[in-house]
Parts: sequence; structure tokens; C-alpha cells
Amino acid sequence: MKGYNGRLLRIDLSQHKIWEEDLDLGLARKFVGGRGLGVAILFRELDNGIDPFSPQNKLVFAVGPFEGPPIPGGSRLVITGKSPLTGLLGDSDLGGYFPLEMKRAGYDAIIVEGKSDRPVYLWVKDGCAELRDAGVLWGRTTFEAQNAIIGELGDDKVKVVTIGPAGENLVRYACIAGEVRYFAGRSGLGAVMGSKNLKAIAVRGTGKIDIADPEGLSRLVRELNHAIRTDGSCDSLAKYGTWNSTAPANLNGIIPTKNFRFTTFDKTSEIDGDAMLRTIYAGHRTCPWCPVACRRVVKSDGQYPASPDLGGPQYETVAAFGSLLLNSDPRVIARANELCNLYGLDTISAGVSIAFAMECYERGTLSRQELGGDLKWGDPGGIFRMLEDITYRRGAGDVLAEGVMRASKAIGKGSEEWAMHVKGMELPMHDPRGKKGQAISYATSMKGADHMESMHDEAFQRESALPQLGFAVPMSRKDFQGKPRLVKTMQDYWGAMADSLTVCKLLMIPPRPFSPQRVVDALNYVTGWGIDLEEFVRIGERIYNLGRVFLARELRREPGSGKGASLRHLDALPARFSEPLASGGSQGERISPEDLDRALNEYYELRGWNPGGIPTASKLQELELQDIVGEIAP
Amino acid sequence: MTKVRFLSVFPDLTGGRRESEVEGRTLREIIASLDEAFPGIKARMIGPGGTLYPGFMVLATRGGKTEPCRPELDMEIGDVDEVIIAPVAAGG
Repeated sequence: MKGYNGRLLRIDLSQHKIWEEDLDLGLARKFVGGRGLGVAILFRELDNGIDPFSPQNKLVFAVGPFEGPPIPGGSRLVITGKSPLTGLLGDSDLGGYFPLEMKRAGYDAIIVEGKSDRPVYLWVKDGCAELRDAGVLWGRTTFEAQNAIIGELGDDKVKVVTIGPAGENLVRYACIAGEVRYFAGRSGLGAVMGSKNLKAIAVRGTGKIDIADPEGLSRLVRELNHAIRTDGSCDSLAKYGTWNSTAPANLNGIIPTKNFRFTTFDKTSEIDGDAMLRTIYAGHRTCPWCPVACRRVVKSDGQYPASPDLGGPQYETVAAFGSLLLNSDPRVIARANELCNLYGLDTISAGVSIAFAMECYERGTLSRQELGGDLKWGDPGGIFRMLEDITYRRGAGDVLAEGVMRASKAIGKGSEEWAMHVKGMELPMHDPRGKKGQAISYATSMKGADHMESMHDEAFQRESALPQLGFAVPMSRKDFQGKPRLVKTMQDYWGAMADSLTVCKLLMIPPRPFSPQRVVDALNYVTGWGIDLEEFVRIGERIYNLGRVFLARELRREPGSGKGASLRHLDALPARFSEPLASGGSQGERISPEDLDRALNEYYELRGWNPGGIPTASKLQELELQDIVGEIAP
Repeated sequence: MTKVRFLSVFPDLTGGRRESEVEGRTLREIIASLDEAFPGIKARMIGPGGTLYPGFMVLATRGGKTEPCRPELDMEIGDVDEVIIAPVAAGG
């Protein structure tokens, strides 16, 4: 099949066995790659109700047809597995050079299962693979481990994904670091690697991937690159990276501040894009083939050191360690980001967990003694101490390492009220009160609150935002009207499909030039499938529904649940969002339970799900998922 | 004179300046004045079709309240405290 290697690599860590399997081409045609392939494999192979930290859990590291050809943004790795944070199916993705190198090494996916009896890392080179001892790497930071592996293998072109001490210590939101510059942050899959005693995967590949229409693709890529360079749509992203979001987020009243109590931060001008350029900016990086180069490099010396060798903070991290904690020093953000990178922590979940702890401290729910010192809003020392305590599970850090859902249950005293999560995953840095589409997307995402599932409301406030997908009429970001359809379409087209191709989502946001037609054309040039936009979106819908059925199947293990039980109670938002915002660009906005309920009714109906949020048999049949209808039958 | 604030836009053209004061009753006139002070802004903000480029938000603050301007170049802005130009940042 064009665009694929046609091979999977499977590693049984319990037996220390490695073997190749053919990629089921029918499966690839139905689920594409990346997240789609991961969900399909795990749906088939994971037993219901397993502990995410048990050897029975599996991790699928998958690329897709867009890796290999020089498509801008076409180098992303998606990792799928059962998340220790949510107990549900989780996924996370990273860019950089590892995904391309893995595809060139000969594999469309690497499936890891079992548990090694000692720390190991996997070394894959051009169709050969072996497990190597990682005893000396255990306990080392991501950067140290990566450098030691590259040194041991004697090839500086080797690309490494690794975990840090947080993953080893089973912090439920441990990330996976790619080249220590690109991060699969969400879902805690770094802790799953830790539970398997798998420290890292190193790859090196020199193979080539055949594609169906090289000339057609070359023409499209030239056109795309020209548009990126000249049409102005990527200018701000190229100059500021995602830091370009900070000032507008404050202006619109959606930047989470003081643990989501406010949505404007009076010191935003000290941490926005211009402030970062002035203070800690030290250059930029890119992923393969991408002329935008949005990745920021930062440098800071003295009290708060940050090295340009590692990945700099993106918007999410700026807000998570800035406004959310009432910190306005870019150097503190850079240092906190670096500690997360080295320890292997997701910056969003880590920031939200510290904000939760700060609110506990302010309200007297956690004491100075329990926290190992003061934990006042904006205090750099407290932030750094908590990052270390969480990583090494010391004192209150041990509870916070469980994520805010579990921590609040353990702490009690009403702290559930300020534990900001959906389905157990901490909220990203976009307050949904000011953008109602994100509210629906956060609530319904299979993996918990995720800001990369549905394109954000701001892009659809103008005419003809994405007419090819039926979005030509402006919609206010503050309204629910029209949003269930927007979210449903974007979760299928953007959330599921970009993660399955796999390609960077930022270039697909209008008015940026990777338009729906160009994305579909690129897929056809690579694979020769000859599909249209309608079928493309339908594949995304299939992936999305399979993930949802996985969730329904998992729910069966809960007491009193059975086949056909409702998922509706999981599609909820923190109660804090029902409070109206007192000031700022989203003043007066709130999300009442009734508003969300109405939006969910419409969303479920559009999706062909029953009132409990479970796909109907006819919807599954329509999506050619008839073989799993038995999973949801009452 | 109208105060114009730049939020994460045009640092290469403005030399990092965050605001400016320019003449103009309409968006078209304001953009033309900005272009005189910082050459290149007009080409960035007005697309080949002669309309406001959709990658920007233009907002106006009146009496402490900030609201989006309609994307019509020849509409009078009226009495405003300031005009804000920012990118349409939608996630990331």
C-alpha cells in the first residue's frame, strides 16, 4: 500500500521478545494511522477494565501516511494507550524528527506490551530492533537519558523518545519527551512506559516510502509552502509561535487565572508574545518540512536558568505557569517549563495541579507542614518545590502526582469544587465560558479536557471560515448556537483525522492554507485512495465512534452498570464554570448545567448517539463498525 | 488622533513598539496612516481582494468596554479610546 511501510513492530517486554507483523491493510484503509490505528488495535486487544499500570496495558506508537513525503507539518507521532489519569483510552502526540525517523526505520507502528523485569530501552534501526539495558539510565532526567543513549549508539542522527523520573515514579500525568524538544504531554502515557520499565525508544532509519502520485504531491506542497510564506496567515505564528495566543486570550477574557477563578490577568503584558521576545526568546526551531518554525527556543540565566538545548514553553505552558498561578515572570515560566521537560511532566496537568494546591493552601485545606513550606500564589520557590515533590512523590506531592481528581478525593474538605478536570484530565488554558464550542468539546472528548479536539470558536466568528465543511456564517464565540454541529464536525475532521494522518493541526486552522481540500488531495496523492472530503470526514467519525464505544465498554466494570449504561454523567464540566465571569472580555459568561445539557442533547442527536451518549447500532453499521455492535447492545 | 495598540502583531515592522497614535476616521484610513509610520502594515492587513485579511482581530475600546469592529474598511470607527489589532489565535 502506498504511503505505508506495511509493517508493525511488536515488543513483548515480559518475554523480551520482538517480532514483526504485517499491517492489516484493511485496517489502515478504515482507520488510516496514528490515533485511528492505535484506537483500532487497542479496541481489539485490550481487555475491559484492566489497570493502566498493569502489564496487560499496551502502548501503540504510530505514525501515518503523511510521514515520509515532504508535507509541511507531516511529522507527528501519536501514542495511544489506556490512560492512568482517566482510566479511559488516552492519546497524545509529538512533532519533531522522531516520527519521520521511525517511519524511515521501516514501521508504521510499534506496539509495546507486557512489563520488563528490569529497565530497558528499545533500539530500532532500519528494520532491526533490540532491547538494551537501561539500568544506568533509570532515575536520570530526559536530557541525560537521551544523551547517554545517543552516546552509547554512537550516531548523533539517532532520535529518542524518553521518560524522566516522573514517568518512572508513575506520576499519572508524566509525559513522553521527543528529543527533549517536542512533547506528548497529555494522558499520562509516560507513566505507562514507566510501569513497563521502558525508559526510551531510539530510532534511526534511512528507508524511503513509496507514494502514489509524487508529481501531484510535489505540486501541492509547492503551492502550500508558497501560501504559508506569502499569504500572511502564518506570520504571527512564525514570529511568536503559540505565544501569539497569550494577549488575545487575555483580551477575550479566556486566559485561566488563579485556578480558573478569573479569565483576565492584569500582568499579561509581562508574559505575552512581545514580552517573551524581549526577555527569554533565543531563537526558533521547526519540525521537518515546515516553513513556519513555530517552536520557540528560550534562554535564561542566573536565578532561573533555562537552556536553549531543550524545548521552550508554548502558550499552554505560559498560561499554566503564568496567569493560572499569578506569576508574571517569563524566567520563572521558562524554568518551570524546563523542570517539567527534564522530569518528564505534562506542563498543563502540572500547572493545574499546583494551582489546585495553591487554592488548597489559601483556603487552609492543605497546611504549610503538609506542603513542605508556603505555597502562595505566584511564588517561584513554591512552584519549583512542588514540581520536584510531585516528580519524586514527596509529602503532598505524592497526592498531587495522582492528578487533581484523585487528589481532591483524597484531601476532601470540599476541594473537589476547585479540582479543575474533565474525566480526570486537567483543563487546558482556554476557559470555556468565553468559547462555548470548547465547552462541548472538553465535555465530550473521550480522553478528558483536551484543547486539540475541536477548532476553537474564535476562528469561526467571521464569514466563510470553512465553507467546504458548511461553516460560512459567523458564530459568536460566546454562544452555544451552532456549536454542537461545529464541534462534531471538527472532532471528526480535525481532532481524529489530523491525529491519524498524522499532521500538525495548527496549519489546518483557517485562514491558514492547509484547507480541507488540500488535506484530502495530499492524502490521495500519497495513498492513491481517491476519496472525497465527505469520506474523509466519515473516517474521522468512525475513529471517534470507536473511541466512544471503548469508553462505553469500560463503563461496564462500574458497579450497577451494564451494557447500554449511560455515559452522560462523564460528559460534564467543573461546577466553577457555572459561575458568571465578573469582568473582562467574557464578562457575564457562564455555563449552566441546563445550557450544557441542551447542547449535549443536540450534539448526541447529530452524532447518532442515544440520550445516554452511546452510539446507536444503526450509527455503527453506517460507519462500517457492525462487528462491534454487540459491545453496546442493551 | 486614534491610539492603536498592537498585540502580538508586526514586531518586525514596528520595531517592537506596542502602540502608536495615528489619524483616521475609518479602518482604511487608520491602516493607511499606520502604513506611513510602519511601512508594510497595509500589505499585511488588506488582502489581494481589497478586504481586511481574516487572520486579524480588530477591536475598539469605548468607555472601558472592548468589542470587535465589523470587518468593513470604510465604516467610521467613531469616538473610541483605542483600536486594538491582534491575531486570530484559535488554540495551540
